[in-house]
Amino acid sequence: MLVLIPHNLKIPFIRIRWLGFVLSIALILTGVLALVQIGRGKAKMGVDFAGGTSVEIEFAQSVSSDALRAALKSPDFRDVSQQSINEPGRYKYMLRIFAPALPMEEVSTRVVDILRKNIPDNTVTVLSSEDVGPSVSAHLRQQAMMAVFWAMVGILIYIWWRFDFRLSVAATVATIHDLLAVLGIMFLLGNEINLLLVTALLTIGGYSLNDTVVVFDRIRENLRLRRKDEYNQIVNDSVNETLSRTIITSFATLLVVVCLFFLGGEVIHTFALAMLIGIVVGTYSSIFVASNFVVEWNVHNPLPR
Amino acid sequence: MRLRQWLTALTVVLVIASIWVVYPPLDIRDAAGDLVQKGKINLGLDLQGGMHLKLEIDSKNLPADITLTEASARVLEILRNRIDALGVAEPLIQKEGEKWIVIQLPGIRDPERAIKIVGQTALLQFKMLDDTQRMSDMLDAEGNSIAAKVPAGYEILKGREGEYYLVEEKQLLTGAHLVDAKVQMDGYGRPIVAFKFDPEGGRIFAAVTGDNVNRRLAIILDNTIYSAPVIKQRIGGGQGIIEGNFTLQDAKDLALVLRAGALPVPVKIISKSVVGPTLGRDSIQKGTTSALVGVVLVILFMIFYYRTSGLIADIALLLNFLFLMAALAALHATLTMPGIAGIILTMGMSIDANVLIFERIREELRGGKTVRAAIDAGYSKALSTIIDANVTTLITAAVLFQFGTGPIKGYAVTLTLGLVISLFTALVVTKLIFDARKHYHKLSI
Repeated sequence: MLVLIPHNLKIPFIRIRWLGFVLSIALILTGVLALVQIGRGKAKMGVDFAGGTSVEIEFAQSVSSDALRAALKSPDFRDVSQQSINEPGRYKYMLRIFAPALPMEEVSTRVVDILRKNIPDNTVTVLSSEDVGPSVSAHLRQQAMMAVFWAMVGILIYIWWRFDFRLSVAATVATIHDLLAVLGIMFLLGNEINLLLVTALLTIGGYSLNDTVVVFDRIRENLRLRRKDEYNQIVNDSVNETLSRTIITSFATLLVVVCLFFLGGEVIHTFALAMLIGIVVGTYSSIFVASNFVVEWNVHNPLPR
Repeated sequence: MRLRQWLTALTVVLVIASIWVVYPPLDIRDAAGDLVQKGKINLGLDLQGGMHLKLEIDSKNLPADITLTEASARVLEILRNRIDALGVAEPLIQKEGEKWIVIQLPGIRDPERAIKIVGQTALLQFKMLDDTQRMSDMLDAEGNSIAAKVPAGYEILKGREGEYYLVEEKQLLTGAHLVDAKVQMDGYGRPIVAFKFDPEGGRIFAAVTGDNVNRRLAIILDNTIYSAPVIKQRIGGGQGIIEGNFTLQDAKDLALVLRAGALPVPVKIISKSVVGPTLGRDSIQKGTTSALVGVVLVILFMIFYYRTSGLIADIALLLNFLFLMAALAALHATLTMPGIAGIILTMGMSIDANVLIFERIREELRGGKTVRAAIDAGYSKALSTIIDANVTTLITAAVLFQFGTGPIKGYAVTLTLGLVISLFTALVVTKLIFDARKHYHKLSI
């Protein structure tokens, strides 16, 4: 029997919970910072949420960033930004253009026309383009918020029904913690906030909850079996008992997500990165955040047993 | 005992049926790139390339005699006709909400042309032109008409070259009476569009031309005057032409939209996304590679950590993959790039159930149970945990399905199917394999 995590391991998670407390506050703050910046319109938003045009292009030969920037100068375009996509042997760029004066469906065409004219000795191919008008982006923003809201409500109700009120609040707090942490880290890393990121966030919510539920399930079972033991002790033992499973599952999922991150291509790159961060944060939170929240609640307001 | 045999038979049948349903998953092409056999898995626009358009019905300019619902139904029908004439394989045209229309054109090679054909109102009107009055004081510096200066019953319209004409407001005839439109060549070999009216349209046309000999008849398309020939004599037979320095393609497209009919109300494109064929091919290839590498790594890890039991979990994992692909093919679900990510994630998560069970079995073994008892206890004790843990992910998948757009919906579908199937493969199939042997002395776990 190969054992990665010894079964009789007794890490005093509850005693060192201040450590998690400090880290979690920091993580939550980055998430709040991201939210505030999004609210102020200072975050980098995807075209799906902000409206505008994005064009992904590939050149046959290498083009410097400066040459591209110069080629894109046009009185029609406002707020042009460009980002090269790293892929050995290929010259790909992602362009973002805001051109309110032009008819929406023409912007991406116009961009390519200008590039063909200003960089004539190179072949430019449009890999993909997206033009999003203000009504659609407003709709998508609203849909994304609704999705996050209903996912949270659904989860809260389900855990409440299956466990009890305290555990359900703890699970929801842990989930929100994870979402904020991933959002914050993605924001600090300079990633675009778009629909795919929200999808990743919701998946992370479901996934990290999965971990939390396993721990809670064990707490519930142990509370029934060991009626005389102290609450904190039971929670701590439960976390330790499920630690092996938590780590192994996370590791296996991490394996596939790492493959997705390195081999999945640019479309899915950010999604994979968010998942990667999410799995690590989710594993941490199911060990440190959810159970400690329950313990802290019990210290201040012991549950009659 | 009987249940076990039933379940074994079911699994075998499912495997055979799945292979039959899913093969070949993707298009098979010969060396020249021609399609030999069509793949069973429906690929989303992001994977096969194509264009996604969202149109908004301009409800502010809705004619008085038609409701929004009627107008949008009519718009939908006309757009269907136009797109059918465009010759796109498997287009999708559907309403979204009150005034939005979603159009998906997979594999389209010329998105610009499609946009022109879809977005054009194609309202053909015939009005009398008046070139006896001076227009210079009816226009301001920007070329907009000054309402107070334009005589009552008249309006100013632009020509194709940007020139202005004064026409009578009264519309004599519209494209609604058209029965046919096709491209012809004029005497100089230039493409023109010839049209034919229905009998009633023909009668009106004859009367109008008969009453207005030696005056100019403006042929107006979407408020632009294309031509304004002088009427030489009464025109019977209900036929006419539109000229306007067309290229052959333009003339063909104009004939196409005229045949399909005018939209009762203008539409506006509010979002457009185009994925080129290269990116789609790239995405499929990269998605498949990363999925294969990921699955192989997980398989190796499980064998490394849980030995024979890990191998059993791996069999469940592969079956999960097979069943998932078969379900996608059978339900005609669309596989998108996020969907591939969903499949890969499910692979990771589906072994979670087995990890939970195996860890439980190990615990029971440590607690001194016999192998047989430990296996049974492991399965029964882990069951509720597994279900609880999966339902939470299902809730988020359901929400994503409800609120997501195309690719995201595809993701929600694969995630949901993958999780449900994994419950069967990870719980039922692995248990069947464990139970195939009655007596265990040792368990490789």
